[in-house]
Amino acid sequence: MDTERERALFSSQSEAWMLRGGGIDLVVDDGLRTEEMLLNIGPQHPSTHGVLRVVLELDGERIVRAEPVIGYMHRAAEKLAEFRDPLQVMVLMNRHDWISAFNNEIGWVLAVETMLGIEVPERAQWIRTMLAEWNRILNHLMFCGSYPLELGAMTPVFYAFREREMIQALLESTTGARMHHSFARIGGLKDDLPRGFVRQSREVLAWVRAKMGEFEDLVMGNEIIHARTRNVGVLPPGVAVAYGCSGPVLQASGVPMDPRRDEPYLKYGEVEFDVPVGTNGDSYDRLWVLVQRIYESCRIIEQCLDKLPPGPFVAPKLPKKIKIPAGEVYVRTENPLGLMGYYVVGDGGEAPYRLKMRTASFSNVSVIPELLRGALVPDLVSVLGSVFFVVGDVDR
Amino acid sequence: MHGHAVVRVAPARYVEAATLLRDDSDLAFDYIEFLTAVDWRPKGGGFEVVLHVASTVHNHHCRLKVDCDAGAPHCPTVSHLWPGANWHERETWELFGIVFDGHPHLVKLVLPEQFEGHPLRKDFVLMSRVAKPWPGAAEGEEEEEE
Repeated sequence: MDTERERALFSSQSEAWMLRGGGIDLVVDDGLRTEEMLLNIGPQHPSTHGVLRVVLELDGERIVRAEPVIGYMHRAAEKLAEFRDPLQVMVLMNRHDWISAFNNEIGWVLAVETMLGIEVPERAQWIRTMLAEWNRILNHLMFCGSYPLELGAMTPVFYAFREREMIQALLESTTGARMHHSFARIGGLKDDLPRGFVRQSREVLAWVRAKMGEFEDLVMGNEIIHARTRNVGVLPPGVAVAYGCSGPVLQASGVPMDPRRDEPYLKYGEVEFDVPVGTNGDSYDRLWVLVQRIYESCRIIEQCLDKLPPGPFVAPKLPKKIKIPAGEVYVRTENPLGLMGYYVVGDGGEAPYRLKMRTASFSNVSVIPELLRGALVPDLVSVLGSVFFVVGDVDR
Repeated sequence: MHGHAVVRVAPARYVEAATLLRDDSDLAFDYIEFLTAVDWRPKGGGFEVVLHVASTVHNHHCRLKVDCDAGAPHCPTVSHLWPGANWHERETWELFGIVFDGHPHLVKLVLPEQFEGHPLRKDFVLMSRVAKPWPGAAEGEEEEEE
């Protein structure tokens, strides 16, 4: 082994080492040698949002190879789904990425509705679009707060969570739950919006917009944030695409892929919004894209509030027992963290014959070895944090 | 199907087809969405490997399907074409037991190392469901609706 050879070399030089400072000149044969070292980060580490383990091979301070070890939170959601009917599957589906629960569940109900050919009422579609965007802001605020925290800035997380709490209250008033809303139903929604929702939404929206400006000044213009994130963890667009990255990670590299715009579902075809793209693909750009996406979500919510039509919130004449017909469908939606796809294969039974969840974080985490190769250990946290993943979304 | 092209190819020509999809400038499928498998053995088939690729240039989609043997399933790897397929193939290998020939690093990804069996195969028993038929259902409710 290489390391053994190096160790032997080291001991043969030990006499020279002992004489250091004794007035003789040291002749070093072939430059300074360093030994490679294996360092284990995690599974419990503050920058991993759960239980992700990364095994690093270090050459001094430089990372030679990084290998993410996942699976600590594997809950076999795909297997469990094969034994449950669509409504029970929905409860499973909003749990893998626990901070974008509503986005997860609409992906699943859209898949089933596409297979069954169910027409969803206009009002339900508008409400779904709006709640999905509220949930997106919730998710992005979480990362906007936690990322500076990982870099050592304590305050932003308090500001971010103040706004988060207001949106949580809004969603709680509608769905009755703070985290796992389970508000979507096959063919519509569980309920209509509560009285006063639109007015309260507008108030919260104005507040979030105003405070995001403040947040942007505090964080994005911060000198320490610049020093820690600029030109750190640069992801070239070609690599990002080949690994199947999506969401802020891909958009920061300059690839404007967004299913909301490319293959509009729900009401995204009828609202105006931009897909922000970064230029360098570094950690700073990923955070910048996240902040810009919050503004875009605010724009979408505003248009949803303006265009919200009256009408029923659930389709009439739904089958009492929903059976998934034979065939297959692949529905892609833009989750806060990136592309979420449900590949459903049915065989006419109540439970899906096969359900593959294509999650954003899985592909985004698989690019980490590329991002960390050649990086410095102090930049590890800056890079890991900026990939914006949820471990439940990686492992499923 | 539902706006996405679905193509079934023979295992021998799978890599050739995938290379064409990626390199042809009119196709330019540069983006890998997922790779997985479906166990069709209870329906009389074998394993089916499903690869979904997309193009960020042309914004179109394609699903490649490859039929594998039911007994000892083998499939060529595409991880040299799309590095993102690496993890998907590792996951499919451990969950279905499909060997991806030529894969550079076929080791367990999400399962613990000591784990035996391939959980997403249809003959892998979900113990909790065997022990308790339908948790949460009220007594007699199921029979009424049948």
